[in-house]
Parts: sequence; structure tokens; C-alpha cells
Amino acid sequence: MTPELYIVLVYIQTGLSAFIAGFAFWKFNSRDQIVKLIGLAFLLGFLSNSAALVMNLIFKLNPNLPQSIYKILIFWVLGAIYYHALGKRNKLIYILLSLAFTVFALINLLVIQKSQINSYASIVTAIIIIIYAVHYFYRLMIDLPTLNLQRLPMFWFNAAFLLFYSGALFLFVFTDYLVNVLNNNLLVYWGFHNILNIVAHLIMLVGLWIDLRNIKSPS
Amino acid sequence: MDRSPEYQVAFLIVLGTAGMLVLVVAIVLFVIVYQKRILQSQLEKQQLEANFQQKMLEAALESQENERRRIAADLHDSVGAMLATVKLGMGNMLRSGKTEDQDFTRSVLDETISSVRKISRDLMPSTLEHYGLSAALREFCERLQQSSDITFSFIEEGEASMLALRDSSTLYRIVQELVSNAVKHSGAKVVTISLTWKKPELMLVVQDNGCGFSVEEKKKQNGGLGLYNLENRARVLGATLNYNSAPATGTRIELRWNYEKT
Repeated sequence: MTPELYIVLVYIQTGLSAFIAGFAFWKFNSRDQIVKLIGLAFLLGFLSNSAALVMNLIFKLNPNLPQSIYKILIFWVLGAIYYHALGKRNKLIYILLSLAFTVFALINLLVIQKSQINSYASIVTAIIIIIYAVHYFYRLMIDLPTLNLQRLPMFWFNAAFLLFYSGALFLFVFTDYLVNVLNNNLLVYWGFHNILNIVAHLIMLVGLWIDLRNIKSPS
Repeated sequence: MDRSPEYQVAFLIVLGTAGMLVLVVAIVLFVIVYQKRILQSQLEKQQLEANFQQKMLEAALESQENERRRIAADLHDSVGAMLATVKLGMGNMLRSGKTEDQDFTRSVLDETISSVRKISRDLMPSTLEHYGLSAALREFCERLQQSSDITFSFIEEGEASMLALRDSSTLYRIVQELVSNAVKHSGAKVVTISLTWKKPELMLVVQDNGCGFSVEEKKKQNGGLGLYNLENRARVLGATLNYNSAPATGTRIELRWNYEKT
């Protein structure tokens, strides 16, 4: 994995984030709340990636700050998505969890990992999102909303989140080691992370396309 | 030497990540397949339930129509014919003034009154209303015995309880239907009705020594509405019906009902 290839992957990922945000906000008034929140999540992703690229490539600054802020914001947005997807139950739990995470992430940013990659926050996010995602699949089997799960947009969104966070969990766990010990070889791992992210983006696009199709021809 | 921990970490990352991805794929596939199966089995169950309800409704409607037909035939054949005879007799009586004509007319009128009472009793026996199920079934057997070559007997065990008219009426209709089937189709010489009270359960058995029948075959014939009708009545009551019959072995139909649950 060369730095050039890595940057290309980052560009692809950033571009896809923007595309997904635009696609989610298209026909805004007729879109579900969850889809709008997906749009917001990927808009934040696009902005944080773009900020990181500008800071690193143009101003030669540490790009970790926008990513750290992004991690805090995305936790709230993902919490809101799952709150809506799981039937708007237990609002207090989602709020408390998000508040607790925010406090933890700020402490991590200011005191523990500081300007390094805030992998601890990523680990916590990944574990929480995996729990949300598995819980959502469990609810699908209890509630039985439809015969064809593939026509449910949230099924695809959930699959994308589960795939990305499960696949990247071990990377997050070993980030410190990768950064401190494998300085020159860590691009391979982060390249894999970006590829996983791109695959998740594509699955997300399938969900958005199905949502649009459901709006045009409800069954 | 320095690279060994790196390889270990790399191996751990690759293995862990691959494991998680396999798990994710497995979870997604499991959810898709399992959810579809659950829904399909629910749909099949609903379909079966709908079919059963349809059959029950058809049986109930046919029963209603049969009852109306029977009443109409009874009224036309016996009461109607008798009243026509009475009219003729009265005409003769007025013309001739003979005592024989008066006596004849009176006897036909008596028979007509008797017929009307029989029709009324068949519709709703007053014994059932005033003296309960046991007395009504006993009277039913005695009446049948008088007008048939078949031996009818009624056996009761245990201490009888007074049931709500609606429930005792349903049980009475079930016995009527079962006995009617035995008389019409089985060629039986002996029909026994037994009523056993074992608190909180009541067991009603109608048994005959006729030719028997195959329950499954019967349900397929003519839509099997007679049996569905019986099951419908039992279901409304909350009772269970058990058939014990086979060709050439007689028939025993047992109804069990928890009368204290209602």
C-alpha cells in the first residue's frame, strides 16, 4: 500500500460520503427521519474527512482533531438513528449513553490520547454500535415487519454499520501498537479500514436506493 | 526477533477482523432466513385458521337451513295437512250435523295440537329449560324409544349440576345431531347416551353398535359439514370432541367439557 493509493482511497471514501449525503437529502420532505439522519451522518463524515485532508495535505497540520470531534458527533447521530429504528423506546438510555460517551471522548481528547488517533473513543463507538446493530436484528425477528427484509432500507443501513464496525474493531484495538511500532507499515491496515468503509458506503447506497424505490412505488 | 511480535499482532488483527466479518455475514444470513421462515409459518397458520373459520361458518349456515327446511316440512306435511282435514271435517259437520263428523273433526284437531307440540318440543324442549339437561336427555331417549325399533338408553353418573340454558341447549343439540346421525347412517340396533358428572368436568358419550365410519373420509365427503357443525358447537362451548369409530366396529363419540370454567 503506497501513500498515493491510500490517499486515493481516502478521496473515494470522502466522495462517497458526499454522494450519500446528497442522495439521502434528495426529495427531503418525503424521506423518513432515519434517512435524513443517515444523510446528516455522512455529511459530517464528508466534512471531517475534507477537513482532515485540507489540514494534512495543505497546511501540514495534525489531522486528528476533526476526526476526534467527528467521533463525538457521529455517536449522537447513530444513537438517534437506532432510537428511531428501534421504535422510539428508551429515549433516556440513548441520551445518557451519548452524554457519557461525550464526556469520555472529551477526556480522552484533552487528557489521555490528546492529539494522537483517539482509538479509545473508536473502540467504545464500535462496541456500542455493534450492540445496537445486533439488537436491531433481534427486534426484526420479534416484530416481523415484512416478509422481504431486503425491501427494508434500515436492514441495509444496519448491515453496513455492523460490517464496518465489526470489521474495524480489531484495528481500533491495536491502533496504538500500529502507530508506535509499525510506522511505515500501518498504511496497509488503514488502507483495509478505508476499503471496509467504502464497502459499507456501497451497502448504505443500496439501502437509500431501496428507500427511494419504496417512496416511488409503495407496496 | 523484532518482527515476531509484529507478525503476532498482524496475525491477531487479520484473524480477529476475518472472524468478525464472518460473524457479521452469518448474522445477516441467519436473520434473513429465519425471519422469512417465521413469517411463512405464520401466514400458513393464518390461512389454515381462515379455512377452518370458513368451514365452520358454512356448517352453521347449512345447519340453520336444514332446521328451517325440517320445520317447514313438519308444518306443511303434518300441521298443514291436518288443518286442511279439519276444515273439510267442519264443512261436513255444518252440512250434515252428524255426531261422527264432530268426533272425527275433534280427533284430527287433537292430533294437530299434538303435532304442533311435538314440533315445538323438537325446537326447544321445555324440559330442558325447566328441569335441566339430564331430564331433557332422559325424555329424549324415551320419546325416541316409543317411535323406533332401535333401543335407546340413557345412563347418568355423578351429581348433576344446573347449567346455563345456553350451554345445556348446545349440549342437547350435539346429542340430537349425534343420535340423528346414528339412526340415519349407522344401521345400529342399540344407541346409548351416557352423562357423567365428575366435577369440574362433564363427559357426554353417544355410543352405537352400528357400522361405524372413517372420520377422515367423512370430513372429505360433501365438505364434511356435519362433523364441522358438531365441532363448531363444541368449540363455542369450549369442549373437546373425540371420535372413536371405524368401519364395522361401531361408534363412540365423547365430549368433555369443564363446566366450571364458563
